[in-house]
Amino acid sequence: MLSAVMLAAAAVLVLRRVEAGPSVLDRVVGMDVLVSTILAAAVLYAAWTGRTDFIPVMVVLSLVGFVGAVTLARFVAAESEDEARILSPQEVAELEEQQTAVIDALDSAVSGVGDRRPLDAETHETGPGADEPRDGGAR
Amino acid sequence: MSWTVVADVVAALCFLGGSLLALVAAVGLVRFPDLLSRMHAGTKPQVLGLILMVVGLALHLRRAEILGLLMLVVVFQMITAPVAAHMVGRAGYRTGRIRQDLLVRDELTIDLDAAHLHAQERAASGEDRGGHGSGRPDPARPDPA
Repeated sequence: MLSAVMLAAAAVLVLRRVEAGPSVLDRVVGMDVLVSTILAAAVLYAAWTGRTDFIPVMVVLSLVGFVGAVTLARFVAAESEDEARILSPQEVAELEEQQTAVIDALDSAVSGVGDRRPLDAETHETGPGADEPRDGGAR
Repeated sequence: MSWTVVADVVAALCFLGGSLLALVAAVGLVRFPDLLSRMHAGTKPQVLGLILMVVGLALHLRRAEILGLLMLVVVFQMITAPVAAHMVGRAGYRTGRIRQDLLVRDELTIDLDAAHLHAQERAASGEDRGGHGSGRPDPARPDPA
């Protein structure tokens, strides 16, 4: 009983670290510890109920638990301090405003070009298939 | 007092020890300041805690046919936990997530710097001798990935 309480408290604390961890690798370490906590809980459950059919589950967990850690550690990349942090709502709003401004500018530019001349006039120099005739309705 | 009672008491002690290790690891994971010390704390329930729990289960159930599977659990965990820890520590070092000010001794950085210096000197002397050895891949040069 006391063991179960301690395991639950450990799982909650580990989840706090997984949620707060400043980098991906801290979260990976937290998930590893969480897997071993779950293993311990499975052992405790098997002992409590006397069931032995949980033991293959424990074998699989102990064999598979490291795959996620290895994969994430293999593909983790260096990121700057500024990219790693979570944006505040104000910064998110500013970023969205910039993006919508850029999209609006692009939209007006594209529609202006489309009004003045057909598109195949300017794809002539650039595209590899530009010498094929296009019908006027295609964008 | 029969031996089954003794086995049950020892099993209960093993369960308590394993759970206590998990709790200590979680507290360390929350309170420690950087990646390496968190890894240090997180290793306790992964190996020692799991061994304690499995021994407790074997003493509690006292059945011969589960011993092989329980051994497999411990063996697999002892094989895979160092691999994961090695990969995490390596990635942490290479992406600069190790706090250098908290390290007591950092032999890897010293070795890497020495290897860089050695490679430069060898490249310079190889040019003097007419480019001998410049075509060989340099084992001292660290992997840029």
